[in-house]
Amino acid sequence: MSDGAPLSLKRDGALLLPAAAVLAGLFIGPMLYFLVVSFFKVSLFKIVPGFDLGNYAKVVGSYGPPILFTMGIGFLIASVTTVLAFIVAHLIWTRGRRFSGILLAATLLTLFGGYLVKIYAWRTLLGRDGIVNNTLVGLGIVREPIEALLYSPVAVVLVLVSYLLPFAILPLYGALRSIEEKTIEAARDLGASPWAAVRDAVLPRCVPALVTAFALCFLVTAGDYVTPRMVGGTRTMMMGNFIESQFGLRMNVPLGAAMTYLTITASIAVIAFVWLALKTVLRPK
Amino acid sequence: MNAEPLVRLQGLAKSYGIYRAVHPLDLDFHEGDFLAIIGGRDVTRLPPEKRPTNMVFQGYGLFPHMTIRQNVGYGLRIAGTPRAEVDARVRDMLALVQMEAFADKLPPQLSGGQQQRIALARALIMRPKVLLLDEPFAALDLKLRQAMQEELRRLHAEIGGTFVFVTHDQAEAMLLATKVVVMSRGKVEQVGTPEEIYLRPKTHFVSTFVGEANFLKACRRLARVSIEGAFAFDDAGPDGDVLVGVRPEKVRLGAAAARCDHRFSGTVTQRIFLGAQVQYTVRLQNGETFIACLQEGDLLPGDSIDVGWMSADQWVVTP
Repeated sequence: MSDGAPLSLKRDGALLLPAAAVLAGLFIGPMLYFLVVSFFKVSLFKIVPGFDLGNYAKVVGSYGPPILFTMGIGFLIASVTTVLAFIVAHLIWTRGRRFSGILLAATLLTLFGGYLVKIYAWRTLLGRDGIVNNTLVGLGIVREPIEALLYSPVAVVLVLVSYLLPFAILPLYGALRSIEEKTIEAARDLGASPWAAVRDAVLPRCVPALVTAFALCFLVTAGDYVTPRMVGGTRTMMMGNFIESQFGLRMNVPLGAAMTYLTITASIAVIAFVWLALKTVLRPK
Repeated sequence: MNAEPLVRLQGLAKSYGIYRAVHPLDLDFHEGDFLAIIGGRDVTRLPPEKRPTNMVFQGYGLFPHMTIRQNVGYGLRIAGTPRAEVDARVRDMLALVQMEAFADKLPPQLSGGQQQRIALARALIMRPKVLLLDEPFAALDLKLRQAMQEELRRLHAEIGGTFVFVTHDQAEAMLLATKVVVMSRGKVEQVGTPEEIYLRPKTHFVSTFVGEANFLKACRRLARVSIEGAFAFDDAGPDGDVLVGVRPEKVRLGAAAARCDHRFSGTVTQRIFLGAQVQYTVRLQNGETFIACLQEGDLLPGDSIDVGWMSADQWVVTP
């Protein structure tokens, strides 16, 4: 490799072994275990091996709405985050000039505030006695504090978008950096408006990064059960919460595993749909 | 060229911070001009997309995710041209630059010279009134550059139009242009045909920028230029120190110098065989050094020799 030749699986494959072992032992193995378990049954709090589709039937029958809600809110949060992240990354790339390093560092700086710290920060902002409500009441805009700011799906969206934004900015900024600015000038020279130049010369080359950013945000959201509990209120129940309770309180691991696999399948379907849609819409004509 | 100019630059200037890239300048381009701007810095910047001009970028700026066909057709599609017309014009344009076989390839699959042709085709298909070319051949090796220069000459002859060409390569400017603008430090030094630029340079910079030049220190007083201890001739201009310039290939040596308007005697100090020519370095009687390029010659270093040139082949600039 010191000679600069590209890696070849045949020659350098052994180098992959440690990583492959970690992946197999800590991810693929457990996932396969739960795939098998999802076909088992529980009887008197004991797991009974077998091949039974009852868990899946139960999830489809009883948990359809929460799965759809989880996919929907995940799609919304991932879309909003990806669009905002693209705008920020594009601004840093085009307008940042010599400040681009500082601007990028500033977005990363927010990662120093932990996940839970951010949730509590939003609770302070959005709560009944929070800053937003106090300001609104103080200014006389509303008479009573707005309860729905916190403990609602809106709060879940706000918290997760603000939390995920830096993660989505990074891949998009990386993709933008690899685009020659000259191609945008060329598009403008050939008569494209500023927006058309971004659509035709920039976005098609960001499809992998857009899908990456979307998938990252979507999967974090679809698997999240902390945010909905902390700021979502009692009625905002996402699949993560149901899965967690099956693995925890209800001690029904097979049902939890079936929920997990259906959620994963639905998530892959959503990401594949977004990827295909982006590819189709942005394909050069 | 008394017709109305196609493009008129008036008081055009460009600064980057405190750096004055282009000092205010006035410049006219006429229809059918092939204008080369050499030296100085980048003067052509992106015009608004509404203008009937198009640009060939340094480094091409092709869209790497679009096929050659899509690249060339992009401007027409943006303008809402019907599909059938786009296809037909793309086909014609690819034929013109001899790239039909590559229509469905992507730019990264093409060589530098091929990408250059596509960049040219993509701009030309818009039928611009003025085509701007910003050092289009800078990234090509010598052989390919020469081939592309030939190609561009052919295209200009074939389709006409006004080309404005920025280059740092003097030979390229001389070869391609019908009109040359020489710039230095953001200022226009001279505008003229390649012949005028080469044979009648107006400044010291232009004299040395295009080709080699010999200079003799002289002095002008009352419109008469005199070289101390040698000769004098009439030349209008302000009084003061001047330089008299002569191209090396216009310098005659030995018997040929006897028939010249101006003569010096000197000593050959160096002989370099350059293949097509022989280059001599001669030390003149007044101590200055002259270069002479001859088709042939068997002079040797140390030989005493007469050096001469015709009045018509000299020019006067201020140092």
